[in-house]
Amino acid sequence: MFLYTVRRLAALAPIMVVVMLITFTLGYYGPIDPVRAVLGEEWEDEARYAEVKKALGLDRPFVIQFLDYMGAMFGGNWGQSLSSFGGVASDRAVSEGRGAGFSGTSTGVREMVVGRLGITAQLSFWALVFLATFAILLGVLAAVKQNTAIDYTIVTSSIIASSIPAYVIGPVLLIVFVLKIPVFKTVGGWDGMFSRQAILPAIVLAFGPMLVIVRQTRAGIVEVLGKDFVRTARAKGMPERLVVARHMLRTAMIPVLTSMGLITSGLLTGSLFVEQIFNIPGIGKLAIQTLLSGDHAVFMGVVLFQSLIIVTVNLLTDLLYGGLDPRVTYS
Amino acid sequence: MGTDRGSQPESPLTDGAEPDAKPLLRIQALHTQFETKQGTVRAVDGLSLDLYEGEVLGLVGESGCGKTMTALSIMGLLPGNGQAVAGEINFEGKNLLQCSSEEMKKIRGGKIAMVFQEPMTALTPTMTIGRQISEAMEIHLDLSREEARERALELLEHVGIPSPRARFDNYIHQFSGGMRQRVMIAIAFSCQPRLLLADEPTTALDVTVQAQILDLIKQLAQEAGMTALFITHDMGIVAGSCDRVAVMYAGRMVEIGPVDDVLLNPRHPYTQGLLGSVPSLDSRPGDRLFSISGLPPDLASLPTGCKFWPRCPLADDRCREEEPMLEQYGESQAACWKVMPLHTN
Repeated sequence: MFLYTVRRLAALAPIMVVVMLITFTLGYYGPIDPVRAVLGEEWEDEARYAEVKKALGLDRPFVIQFLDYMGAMFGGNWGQSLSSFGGVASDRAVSEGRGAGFSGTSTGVREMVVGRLGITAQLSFWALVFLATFAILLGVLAAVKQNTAIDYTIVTSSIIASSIPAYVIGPVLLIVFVLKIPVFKTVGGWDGMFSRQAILPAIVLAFGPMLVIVRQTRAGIVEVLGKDFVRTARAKGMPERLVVARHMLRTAMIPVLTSMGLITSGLLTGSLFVEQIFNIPGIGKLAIQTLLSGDHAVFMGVVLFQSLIIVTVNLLTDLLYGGLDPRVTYS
Repeated sequence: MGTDRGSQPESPLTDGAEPDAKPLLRIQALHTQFETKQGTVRAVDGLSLDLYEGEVLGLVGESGCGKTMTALSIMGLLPGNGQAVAGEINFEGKNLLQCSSEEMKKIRGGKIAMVFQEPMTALTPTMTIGRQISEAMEIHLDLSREEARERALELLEHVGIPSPRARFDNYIHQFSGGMRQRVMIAIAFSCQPRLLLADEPTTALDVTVQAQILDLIKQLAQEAGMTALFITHDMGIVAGSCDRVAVMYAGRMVEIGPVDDVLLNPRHPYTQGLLGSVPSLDSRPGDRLFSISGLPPDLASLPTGCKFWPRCPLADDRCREEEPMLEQYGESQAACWKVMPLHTN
């Protein structure tokens, strides 16, 4: 398993190079002109434009720029946000040039992305806790009470919860719990994962994927209900609660784990809607901001980091299969 | 197969069941049914059976004759919409069919244990075999996790699993079929039940392993003075392991008696057919094995009269109209209008 992990980690590098190539190419040929973004209103001055372009190293051939970018990324220097150039962005760009990221200024892309991801991760954590407990419990209950009113109620309400988009349920919850019944004082914002503000967005985040988890748990349990080994467990006189927990759940959780992996990737790459609605400075909100402001380097950093999250979560999911199913071997 | 039918049943589990003794388990007019789209399937149809303390009773018959459903009715573990709709199953002064689910949980595994046919699928793949043995003891014998583990290790050793300490934390996919059945047996015996229901415990195993597993069950049951119901279709197992044998057909009993008597003087044509389909030492190569013509009846639409008449070479009008009841013939009982006078002693 150790060797397997090392091999998988080693395979991350080429994957990331491909992702970098794609994001860089899109950035290079895309509609956003970083020079123009740095210069602001000055951009029509051709001499100034050429000067800044040279300072930023954007006059070099594509391949050289890409290799330079890739080297810097692997070296931990993810570049500089445009906002860090301040009011006289173009002057600083000229004086500090491409090496600007190294000087450790507070708005390096890496610091920015990692900081924002921290907030998204804390929020995602709660959503995952909600899914891993509440949704799985509902799924188990629906399966055990198969084809009864309880089952139908659980499945139907999950369908409803997951069908309403976050941009509808979010504002509705805000109106109900902030304006009508003021359980929460503030409309949004972020004050750490243990603050009250984290509750509503976490619930909204969990609502979307809830149906998948409820249904898969239900299907998984229903599938093992009639198995011989479950009959054996009952023949031993085990209480039904332990039959479910010890003999059924692990087998039933294998497809659920697959979904949880995908959901985790989805949550960690940030929810554009939820973070926007609840005004949470997470990675999703950062993505929107930088996309709108043309903050090229940051947006590329975000995309790159999101890909890194997805491949890492995939690896973790694959490793967890072994924890669930002893028949899984890594070689 | 496992034991040679030619050899006498020299060592039944206990020497001589006592028919006068009080039965440990008394099944009376049990009816177990399944509601299906094709109608009511009568899996067990009016079965009465006494199991005496310390005896080993073989329950034989073709597939689908209700042997397994009888055992599952006793355990209260009928699948799907199966239900024991009428009759009584008396065990230790209680009618199991009326017991609450809490009472049944105490009886299952604790007082009555069952060994299943399919060692490949009857054990949980995601739980260590050690835990599967020890968990029931924590419930029934009120042992701590540590004590149950120690007992499970002893049991593993006792059922012939080498290096139990190393094997305790293994999963079943790391075991062969025979080893899995040994684990199954360890589970069944772990809480020292009074009654063991063994549902074709060797059918799914290699022939060479069958005899070992059978000997193991016999040895353990003998040590514990346990009463056992052996469900099988193997007359060799009956001859080698059982004290009495009951033959089932279409959910009812057609013949019951001491093994020697039934095997040597089968009264019912169905029993004769079952015995005729076993190769004997006298048969020569190339001889055709006897087989009972036709198929077992559809349990959703049974024939009138004797349920065996469509396949019976002796059937006449009476057989087609009137259902025979069990009658005493010598030491045995049979339900047939055609029992030969020479058998009536």
